[in-house]
Amino acid sequence: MTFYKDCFGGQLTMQYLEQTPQGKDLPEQMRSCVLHAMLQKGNFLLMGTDVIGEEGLRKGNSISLSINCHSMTAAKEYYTKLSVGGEASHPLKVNHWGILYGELTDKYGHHWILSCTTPHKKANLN
Amino acid sequence: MSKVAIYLNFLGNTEEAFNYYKTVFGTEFSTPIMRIKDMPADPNGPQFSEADLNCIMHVALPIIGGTELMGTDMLESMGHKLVVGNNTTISLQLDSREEADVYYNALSEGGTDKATMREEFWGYWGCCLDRFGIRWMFNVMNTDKQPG
Repeated sequence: MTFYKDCFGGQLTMQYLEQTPQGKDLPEQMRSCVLHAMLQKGNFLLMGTDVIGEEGLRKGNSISLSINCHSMTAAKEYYTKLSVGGEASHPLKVNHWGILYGELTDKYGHHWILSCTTPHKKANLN
Repeated sequence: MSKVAIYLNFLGNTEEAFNYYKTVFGTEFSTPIMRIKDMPADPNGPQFSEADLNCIMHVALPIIGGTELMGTDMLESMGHKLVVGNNTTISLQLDSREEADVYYNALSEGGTDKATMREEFWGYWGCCLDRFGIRWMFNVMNTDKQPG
């Protein structure tokens, strides 16, 4: 979550297992795990947890987060920061519809889509 | 202003899934469904089968609070493989328990990995993996535990 804060900015709050009602009864190594983390920036709320079931963590590819950015600069900045240590699977480029578009998988295995309607496209829409 | 959306992948049944989400959230698609066949022709691009041409290239559905759910079909013919993980969940922060129950019941029907709606120390909570392989969490914070 600290990585995502470095990427997007915003306010990060974390609640640890030791802060829960049963926290004091937990084994030492579990108390410092994050029960709930929240990164808030405007209406964007990204939440995370260390608490997973017995099945363990399975990284899927059926859900991506898509950010339609207010500027090309922002899209490029987020793309660069999020792809550090990850896979820049589809670098940002202007597509057929005049939209700057890119995809990446970050180093934690989460999928992101970044886009920005280019000034050229906006001019066509006006 | 930048805007965040949740983008979903399915293996050929995006349309069925989105028609289902449309009934769950009681909303309409933001724009007409765009299919593979609606893409501009590219003589150098891949040749698609009839079935692939009818697959969904892009669909968008507003759900709650202006957030959009978008989707696209993965194509087996292009070597795409769908992996249903447990590392990403869509969380619905709801105003009332009644509302949470309605969404939980609708989305968990035919689904698996259910944690039925229950009292937790922070509020009323539950989660499920829906019948299309998407994970949802439902949460109503106790008013006395609201952050801030």
